[in-house]
Amino acid sequence: MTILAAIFILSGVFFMTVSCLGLIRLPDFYSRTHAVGKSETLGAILLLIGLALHNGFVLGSLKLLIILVFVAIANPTATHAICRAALRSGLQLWTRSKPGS
Amino acid sequence: MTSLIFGIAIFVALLIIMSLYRMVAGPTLFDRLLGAGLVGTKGLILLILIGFIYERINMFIDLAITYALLNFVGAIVLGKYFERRREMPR
Amino acid sequence: MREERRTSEPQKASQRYGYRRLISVAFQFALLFGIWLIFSGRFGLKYLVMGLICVSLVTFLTNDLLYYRARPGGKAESGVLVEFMSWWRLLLYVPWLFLAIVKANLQVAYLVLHPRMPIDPVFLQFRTGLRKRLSQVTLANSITLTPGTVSVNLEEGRYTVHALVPRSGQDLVEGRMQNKVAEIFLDEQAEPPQVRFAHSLEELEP
Repeated sequence: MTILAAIFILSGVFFMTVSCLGLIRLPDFYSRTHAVGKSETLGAILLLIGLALHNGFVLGSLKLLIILVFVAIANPTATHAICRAALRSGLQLWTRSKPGS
Repeated sequence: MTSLIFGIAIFVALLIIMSLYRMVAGPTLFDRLLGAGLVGTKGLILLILIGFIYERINMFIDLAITYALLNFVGAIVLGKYFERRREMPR
Repeated sequence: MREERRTSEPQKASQRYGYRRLISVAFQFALLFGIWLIFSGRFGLKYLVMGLICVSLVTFLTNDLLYYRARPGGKAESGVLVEFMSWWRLLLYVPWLFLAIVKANLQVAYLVLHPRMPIDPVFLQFRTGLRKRLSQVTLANSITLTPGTVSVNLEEGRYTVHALVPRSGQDLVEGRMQNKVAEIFLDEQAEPPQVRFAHSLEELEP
């Protein structure tokens, strides 16, 4: 059980690292939303599953699972809200190829 | 396992500092908002890890729930607020 | 439905509020009370009574908001809670979705950790044939969670999607995901949508 929890926690930390690196490396706002909306969500889910396994079958683990469900719903929603606000206020996107080609 | 959790807590704190870079340097306001959301989620995880380290997990889980709610509401409200503005906020 | 309620005020409550309304009240009450039990973690009589009072108050105050959703034309339609009760169908959708999430994350990890970052961002825009609001929202959510795409905007069935690499919009161009959602929520099967590619904001439809 401990080993399973450790595997979940470490993979969660890996995806969190990916989201952080993506936030720093990617070139523009819309690309960064990919890093935040996806990797951060999966990283948090995996970490919380691992911590719940480590905690054992008590009421605290149930609360951890509720936090998990909440984060899994709320994090993409918040990202989408910010993204939509950026589109509405006319933020231009970064492209590799020339516009129109 | 305790030492693993301790190491991961330190690592997550470092990741928070990395996200703070985007909050400080982000060219537009929306980048800063994204960085703030990331700091919020990682702070939630860090709170739970600290709860495990000090072995007072029940109290810290309640704190983490509050933190998750505030993080979500803050992101939604700020996004809605800056959607109304026409000029590009910095 | 709202019109009826206003004109026939003296009717009995059981006639005004139908069977579905009672189910929605019971559903909300049970959900909130379950959350109260988990969060409080104490099962003494005092805490249970306090929880019952709080949950009844919240249900009484907010069930109206969740049950009806007024439309501009004055016609009321069923709100969030009624649609939420048909979300058990979402359980059929979760395994496929979770696989898609893991694949999406591996792709993002590959793109981010690659030294040269082989990305070529592009906007996609298309109109869906899905009719129900719930299935439209579910489609937007799955676009966000599947490889390479994030849904930016959804207005009246028109989606704006940001893709990191253009070929990851392939699922959308062939309409595969749309058919998947339509199948699960018993919506009508539609043609594969016309997808426009835009490289700047000016090329988007207003």
